[in-house]
Amino acid sequence: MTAERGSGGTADAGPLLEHLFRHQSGRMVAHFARLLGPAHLDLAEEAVQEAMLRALLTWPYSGAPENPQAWLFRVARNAAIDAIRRDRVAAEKSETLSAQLSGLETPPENPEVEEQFQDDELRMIVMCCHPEIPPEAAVALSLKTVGGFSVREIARAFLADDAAIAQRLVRAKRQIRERHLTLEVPRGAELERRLDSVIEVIYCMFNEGYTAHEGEDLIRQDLCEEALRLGSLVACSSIAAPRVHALVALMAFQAARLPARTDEAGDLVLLESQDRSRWDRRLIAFGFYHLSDP
Amino acid sequence: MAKFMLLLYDNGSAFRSMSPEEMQKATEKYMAWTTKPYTVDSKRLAADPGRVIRSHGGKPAIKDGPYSETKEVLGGYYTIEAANYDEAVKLALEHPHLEYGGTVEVRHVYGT
Repeated sequence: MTAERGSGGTADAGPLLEHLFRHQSGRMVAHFARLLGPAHLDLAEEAVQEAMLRALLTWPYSGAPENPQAWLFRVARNAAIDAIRRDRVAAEKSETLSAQLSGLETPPENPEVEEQFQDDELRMIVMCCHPEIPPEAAVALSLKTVGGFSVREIARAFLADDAAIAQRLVRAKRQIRERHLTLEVPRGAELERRLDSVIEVIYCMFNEGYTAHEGEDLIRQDLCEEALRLGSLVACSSIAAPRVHALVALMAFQAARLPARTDEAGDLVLLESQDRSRWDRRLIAFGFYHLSDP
Repeated sequence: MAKFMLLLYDNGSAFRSMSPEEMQKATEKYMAWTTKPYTVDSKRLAADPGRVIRSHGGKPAIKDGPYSETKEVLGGYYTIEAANYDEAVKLALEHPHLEYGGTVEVRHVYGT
């Protein structure tokens, strides 16, 4: 087989889309978890990790494929099928599941599939924020599953050690299995309650990135971005409520000031002394958009 | 110009524990090497152990690759152009493989 590079120029060696692997990991985990059932979250995560690893082992020599998302999705799907067969996960259902997975279309090429992926992400956040899961664990679980963050990255952001975060995730996943949590989005009063905890968890995630001043700035900023991304996802969904828009607006306004919040030495600059020209206009506009009852 | 092969060895452990974000960063750094002006070729070798053929008293003996004993596996190679070993090594020192704990063997392609 010849290398893709030089045989038609389909491969690309330029930088990939920012956070492509992280975001793709999150949405693929959510997607596979819906198909396999949330009890098999670990399997979904392993299949996705395998796809990323395979990319890391091949793209360095051949360049990235023309459609990296679709490539990652295919490899992750095949890894999931292999795992189902190998581990005989849900033995009675394994053939059906494999067939279902084999028939999946690759995401970005088809708008309907793209919509399905967003819906899966939404379901996953809503499940991660189940009231049975304590908020701290829900933040970690959301970051790990929908966010595509690693245990070490979450630990760094929380200034906690890896083992503590890993433990938190293990417990949260046990809750999912033991309480048979599903990826169904609740309705009525139950939805209202769930939305409250979704808002709490997302705000907690944002706050974690925003308030503490020590630690690694980059990962903290990533946390704020992720909270904003998840908040927007909920705000743009069918379960949006005015208080979700309010949360997104609040986070957008605060995040807009992030670039002006520290001086060159990395020290905190208080609001009144901030250089307002460094505030992020796009985020401010985004905040006002959500505040104006979209 | 003379050609040099950079043979990339690693034991795979550095990558296993990486987050998606870190994997992407690493992938981008490596990929950038495929388009460097001095890079003429880059290939990955299959992850299987391969075969080794040795002569035993005049008879070839075929075995699976030698990797069961050595920790580091030859994962792939880049061919680059450089004036001499000094320059080739200087370029190779910039290769991200070293940052990720791998080993880079630099060999002059004889006659180039």
